[in-house]
Amino acid sequence: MIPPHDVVADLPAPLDDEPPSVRQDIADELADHLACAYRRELLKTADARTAQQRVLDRFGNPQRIASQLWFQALWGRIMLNRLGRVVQVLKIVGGLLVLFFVFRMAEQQSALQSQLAVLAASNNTMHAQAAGNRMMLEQIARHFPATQPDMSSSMSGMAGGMMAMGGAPGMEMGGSSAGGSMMGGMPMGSGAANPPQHGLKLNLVMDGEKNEPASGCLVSVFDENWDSLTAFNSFVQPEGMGAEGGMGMMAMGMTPGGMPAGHYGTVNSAGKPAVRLPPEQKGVLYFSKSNDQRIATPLEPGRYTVSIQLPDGRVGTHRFVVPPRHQAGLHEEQIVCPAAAQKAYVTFHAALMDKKFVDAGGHIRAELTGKPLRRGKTDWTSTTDPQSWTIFFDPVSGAPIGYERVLWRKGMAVERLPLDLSDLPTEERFVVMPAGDYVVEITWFFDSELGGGLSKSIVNTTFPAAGAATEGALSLSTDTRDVLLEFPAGAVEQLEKVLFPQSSATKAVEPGAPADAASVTR
Amino acid sequence: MDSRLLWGTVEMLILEVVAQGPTYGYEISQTVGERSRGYFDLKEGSLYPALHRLEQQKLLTSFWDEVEGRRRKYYKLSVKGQTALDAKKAAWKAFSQGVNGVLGAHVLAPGL
Repeated sequence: MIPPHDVVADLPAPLDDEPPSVRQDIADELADHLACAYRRELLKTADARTAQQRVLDRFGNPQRIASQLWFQALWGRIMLNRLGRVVQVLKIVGGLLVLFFVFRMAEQQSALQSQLAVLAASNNTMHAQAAGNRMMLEQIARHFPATQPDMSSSMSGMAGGMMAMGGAPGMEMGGSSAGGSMMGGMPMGSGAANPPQHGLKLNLVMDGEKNEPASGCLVSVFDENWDSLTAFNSFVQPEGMGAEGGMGMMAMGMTPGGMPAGHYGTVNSAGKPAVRLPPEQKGVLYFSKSNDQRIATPLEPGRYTVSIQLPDGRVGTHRFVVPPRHQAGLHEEQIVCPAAAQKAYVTFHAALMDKKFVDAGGHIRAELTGKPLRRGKTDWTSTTDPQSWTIFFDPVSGAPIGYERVLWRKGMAVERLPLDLSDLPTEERFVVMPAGDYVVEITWFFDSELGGGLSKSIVNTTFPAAGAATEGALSLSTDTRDVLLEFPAGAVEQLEKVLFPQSSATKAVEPGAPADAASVTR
Repeated sequence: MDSRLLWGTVEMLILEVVAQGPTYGYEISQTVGERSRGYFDLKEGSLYPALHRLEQQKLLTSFWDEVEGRRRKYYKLSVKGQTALDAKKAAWKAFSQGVNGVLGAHVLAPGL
């Protein structure tokens, strides 16, 4: 019959926690049954094979029955194991989910902390701005004492705005009416503004007995490094902000009616920032080296240059020095602007040359260069009128035959314009030039093939305006305005020595005649 | 016989046989066959899952003995098994009386 171990041969592999007797009990119980049945069948038939076959027919498949019993015995354990595995899988999945959510929470916390840091930084910036605004208001309040109580409402409105920016009012509004008017965009009251106590005060007046305030000019101030100083026009503007100033502030990114303007967004002919001086400024401007246009700081010791451009194109350069150990405060400079340039009409004549010089190919030329007009510490030049002339003379008659003048455009020499006078009568060969001081350089020169020769005479003279009284070293008639250019002393002898050495060798030569000791007579 | 009719009664038959005294699987199958005069022609192997299920339900208890050099597993009825057997037998009697009542009335009707 079937041995017990064959009955359980097809069972699954033992479980980890399977009791050792389970398989043996099943095998022994079924084997006992099969043995009893086999003995019964063997009594019925002597054939063992037949008996065995009948036992199996009546019993069924012993291995299948054994498997059924084994699952039945261990069903609970199998289910527990499967449940345990499911629990383990769930634990793993749960752990992964927990890790995922922890990671997400960490990420979100990190992002939140970053946002909090940004907010904190922004908060600090707003507090700093609020503190700066408070300081600014306090300074403005110091500059504008309480003189117009009706403007306190504007300051209150501004303070409200500051509170909205995170600041606090924190200052006396009643004593800052003028500052409030500026911040609120209201016209400034006449006489309400106090000028800065530091920096530079420029007083620009017109030349004359009355010294009328200048206006309409462009003013720039530079230190010796050519860094521009900042203007404080609003402090001296007595009748309200001008339209140009308001636009200038907008060009600087400031709101109309906001803080005091700087350069008004204007540049002079040299492209430097400049302030246009309106008539209501009464010729007074304030500057400071401070980068903050709201704060006027004392001028540091050094050399400064004020550039003034008048409406008629003349340019003034005013230089002043702030010495070391000077008393800190408001440094004042007065600039005298000359009246509009007048014209002078001058007819030049050259001294007649000896015929032998003419035969030697001699020519006469005069270079006239205008000297800057000086008023006080300010030198004035023109950027529109010609500043230099070259006059050519007929060596035979001594009359001018033409001249060239350098024309200026926007402060730069742009061209030399010739003018032929040879066809005109002598009395019509005058030169039109601004009245003023000039340097006249007279040159006699000769053809080089004859050995060449050159003599110069430099004369400093003044050409007064037409109709003005004659003055200066030059003998000039205001009626005729004729000028005679003569050889300098000793020049003739020097030219003879150069041009005609053989004939002049026997003559006594006047030694050392100074070339610049010229005499130019009528 | 119809196995669907037998399915609900095998456990009751086993408990009844075991109630006569400790016995083992082969003897239970032989007893059921003899008492039913071969009516319950079951596969002898199918008896063991029922025996083990009754044992797991604490209706039967078991013990091992050695006979002719082989280990033999004996089953005997527990108190809980006796209660269950009584209940099953009562239910079966009620059921069979009901069935017989219906079938008997139907059979007797033609003779009335």
